[in-house]
Amino acid sequence: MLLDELSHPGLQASRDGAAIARSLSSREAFTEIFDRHFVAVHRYIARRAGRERADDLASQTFMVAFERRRAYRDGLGSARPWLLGIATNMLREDRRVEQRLLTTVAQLGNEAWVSANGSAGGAGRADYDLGAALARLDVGQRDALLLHVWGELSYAEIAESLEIPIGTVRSRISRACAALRSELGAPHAGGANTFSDEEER
Amino acid sequence: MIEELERVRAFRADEPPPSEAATASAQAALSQLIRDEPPQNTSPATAAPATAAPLRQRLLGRGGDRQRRRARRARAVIVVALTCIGIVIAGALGSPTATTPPSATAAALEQLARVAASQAWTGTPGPGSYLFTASVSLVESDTLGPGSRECAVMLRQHREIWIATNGAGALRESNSDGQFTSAGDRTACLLDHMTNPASQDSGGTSRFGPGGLSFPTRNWHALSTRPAKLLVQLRKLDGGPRNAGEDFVHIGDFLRESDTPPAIRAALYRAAALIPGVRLLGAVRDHAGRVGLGVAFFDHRHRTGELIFSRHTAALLGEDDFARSGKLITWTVYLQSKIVHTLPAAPLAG
Repeated sequence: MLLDELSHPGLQASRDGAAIARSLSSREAFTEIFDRHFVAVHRYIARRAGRERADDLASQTFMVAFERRRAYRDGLGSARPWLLGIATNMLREDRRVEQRLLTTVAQLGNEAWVSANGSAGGAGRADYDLGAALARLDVGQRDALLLHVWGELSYAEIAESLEIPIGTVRSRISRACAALRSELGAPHAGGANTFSDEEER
Repeated sequence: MIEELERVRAFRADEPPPSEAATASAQAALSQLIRDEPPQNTSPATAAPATAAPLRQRLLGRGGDRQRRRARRARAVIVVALTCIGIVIAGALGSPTATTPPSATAAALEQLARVAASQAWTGTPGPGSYLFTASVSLVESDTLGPGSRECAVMLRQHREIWIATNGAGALRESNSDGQFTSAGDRTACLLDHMTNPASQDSGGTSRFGPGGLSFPTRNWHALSTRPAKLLVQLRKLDGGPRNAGEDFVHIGDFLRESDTPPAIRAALYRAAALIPGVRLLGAVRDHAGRVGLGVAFFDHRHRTGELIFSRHTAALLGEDDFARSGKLITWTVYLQSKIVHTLPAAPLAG
């Protein structure tokens, strides 16, 4: 539902949709969106790219959202998928920052493990390798996976957020999990999903 | 799959919420944007269709402050040519960091101010005289063709401008080294029969009668040499949003292609030191390969604009504009500035 349609008396907007629609004539109404979602957006970015980058990118996310609010589609009842989609696009420009962070976390984790256990390896080591494995994921798969797990979005919301078919979301998350399983050597024995993005479009 | 999801969910789960300072800063930035948004035409259906005029060029969306100012000054060119050159994507020189303490910034700008103040003013161009400035920029020319096809081309723009005190003068622009920005753009351009990327907005020479071009002001004597007061005056004269980033844009506006008196130039450097977010970069190289003193404006941690000055003459050598991502999007180098007494032969514009 496009914002212009929200003025139709028979249609009911979500709380976020209503605030964004109001912000077209009364700009201050957009601060409601900030108040509701800033913490979640910041936390999502901080987990991916670090706290320092999150301070900047979360702020930019809301500025970009304000400038693009006319194109907001009130289809899911919450602006969070839309905001996290903007944040995810910004993170793509900072992909190297994210990869560096995840790799550093993995290295620090491994050093901590070695320090605590006297040698590298062991069952706990796999947890420390998770950062490196995430850093090596295909960016599309990582976006979908982290929007789902850290952004707490449903598949439908991720599809809306990234503007991709829901089947593609499923396959990306499935393939991301398969890649992690392969890298981390988890005992779970599920077969890798063989659908490609193109096949499910 | 559930096991992997759970492991990822637990990873970095202890990330704390944003600090109060970060929240307040983001809130303030958004509020500023909300306040600064100009009144808009609220109905998309009544907006001027971007594709109404085939092959009409339009300004790109971001990073265009300097170019917009320049376009405003040469507005007759836009009317005549129905083209607008937008902004640029280019390779970067490097990424100096803003670690210099503010006092060093002020000291460097004060040094530039003293150099400027010690120079003799040749005065505004007299009758039959023109201030001539030659520059080279890297710009992106963005064209809308039939069927809303966009055709974007990066090209090097060579610009020569002659301005008399009364605004008469001439403008000569030519392009070279054009490159399609992507395979998609190449396809769109070819569909519009543009096989040579440098041919887009190919410029030419135009002459202008009085008022066709202009300096930042015709009344230099009305400007204060007190830096703080000068900043307020620049806002009134130059317009635009009232924020620090725009103040830095004003400084550039009054230094490029201008007959600014030495005392005002000195005040402009001192005024730049008063703008929050202005930092000294130290020795940097402009896109003509010359080493100068770099001064940049940082919006939080993002460098958005950079001016490069000659240490010896305090002249503006070049400038760069950056996207918030840090990518260099446009640059200009000023190669020559002098008083001349002739204009190139060209038809009168407008």
